[in-house]
Amino acid sequence: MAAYVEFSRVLDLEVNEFVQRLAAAIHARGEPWIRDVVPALGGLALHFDPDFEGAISDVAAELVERCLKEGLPDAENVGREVEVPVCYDRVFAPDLEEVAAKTGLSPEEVVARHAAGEYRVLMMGFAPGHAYMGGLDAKLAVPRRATPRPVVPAGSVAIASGQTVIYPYAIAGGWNIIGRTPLAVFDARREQPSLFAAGDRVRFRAISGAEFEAFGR
Amino acid sequence: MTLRVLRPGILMTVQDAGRHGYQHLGLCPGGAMDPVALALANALVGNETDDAALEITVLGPDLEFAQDTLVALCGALAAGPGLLKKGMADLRLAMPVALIASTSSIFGAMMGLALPAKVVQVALGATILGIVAIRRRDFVGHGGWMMRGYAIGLGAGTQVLTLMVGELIAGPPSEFSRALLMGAAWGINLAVAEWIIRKPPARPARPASAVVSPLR
Repeated sequence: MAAYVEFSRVLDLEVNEFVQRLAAAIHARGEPWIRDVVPALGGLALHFDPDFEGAISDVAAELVERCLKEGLPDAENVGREVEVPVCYDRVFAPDLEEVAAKTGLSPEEVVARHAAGEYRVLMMGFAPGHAYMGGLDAKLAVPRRATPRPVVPAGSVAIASGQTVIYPYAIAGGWNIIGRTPLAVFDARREQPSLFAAGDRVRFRAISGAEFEAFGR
Repeated sequence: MTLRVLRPGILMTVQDAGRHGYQHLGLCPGGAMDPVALALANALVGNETDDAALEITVLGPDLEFAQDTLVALCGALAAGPGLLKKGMADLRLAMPVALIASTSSIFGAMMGLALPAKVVQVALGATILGIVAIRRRDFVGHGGWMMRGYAIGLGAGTQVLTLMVGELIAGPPSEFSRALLMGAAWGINLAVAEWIIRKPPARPARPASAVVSPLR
């Protein structure tokens, strides 16, 4: 049982930031009948305990209004800072040349612009730990690949549709791969299984192939 | 090893009560389709109510038990007789299985289909009558009442048929004709049940003692 509270049907980074602040406020209340608060691009889903009695849409609307009246946390206080080492070497970046050709930039310029960006996790989805991050340099706007790959290596850093993602596992994917992180994006055995959560601020740090190999040893 | 899966059937999975509270990290919660049946089955074998179990759909699996094992079968299923036929279970298992299957099929129907309250009471009444009859050691009467309970509990399948035929003949049903068609389905199920109950046995019934012995 869930209620979806919608604020926008198009991707708007300001609306998304508001959604993250609202989700944090609702989460902090710790209502026992809410199992999960799931922020999306332009709204948020409230998952209710199935034993909850009452009209969930009314209850959800009331809860949102109460949070708005009491004030939301500032954007700087929502989410964490996450730094992600990324190796942009060609062996990890099968689509770098193509992205460079499409954008009219040199491969080095593509890497520099990607690594310099300040990103925010807009929403989680598609797979456990898979984060959609907004804030990609406008010059790097490329569409998804015409043909998705049946398997993308775990940790692949990819761009498309004005966003960047990191594939947490070896799964199918259609975004343009321009690097790879040695970090485990998702590990169910960790205290915090997911490296990312919606609202997190993310920076990338370019590392060499040698640093990549040395990681975690 | 206790259990070997020879054939998994269709979509047999290991399910527990699910992992809730992680959807914001992109995790599907999963969990048993019928949480009442899961809790009931676990309680019957002395597990925690949210322990993992095998969820079996449509076609049953072929399972080989390497040692004596206590199992409970719950939910809206008709696997009890099939297990008996294959010699995989005896009456000690089959009786409670039949009772639980019919009861939880009604619970399942209540949650999934929202049956009219009166129908649910009738079906529960039939199951309870079944229990009363068995306590008086009236096995023929017990079987009949259990079957009537089943017939009502499993009405949904026949309703699909009656609603479909009704719609083919008369177009989209009104509130009234819909209720009529739903009712007709239970009527058909009960009629078939009565026919089976009253049908003379094809071969001589086994002596009652052979049936009773495992229950003593």
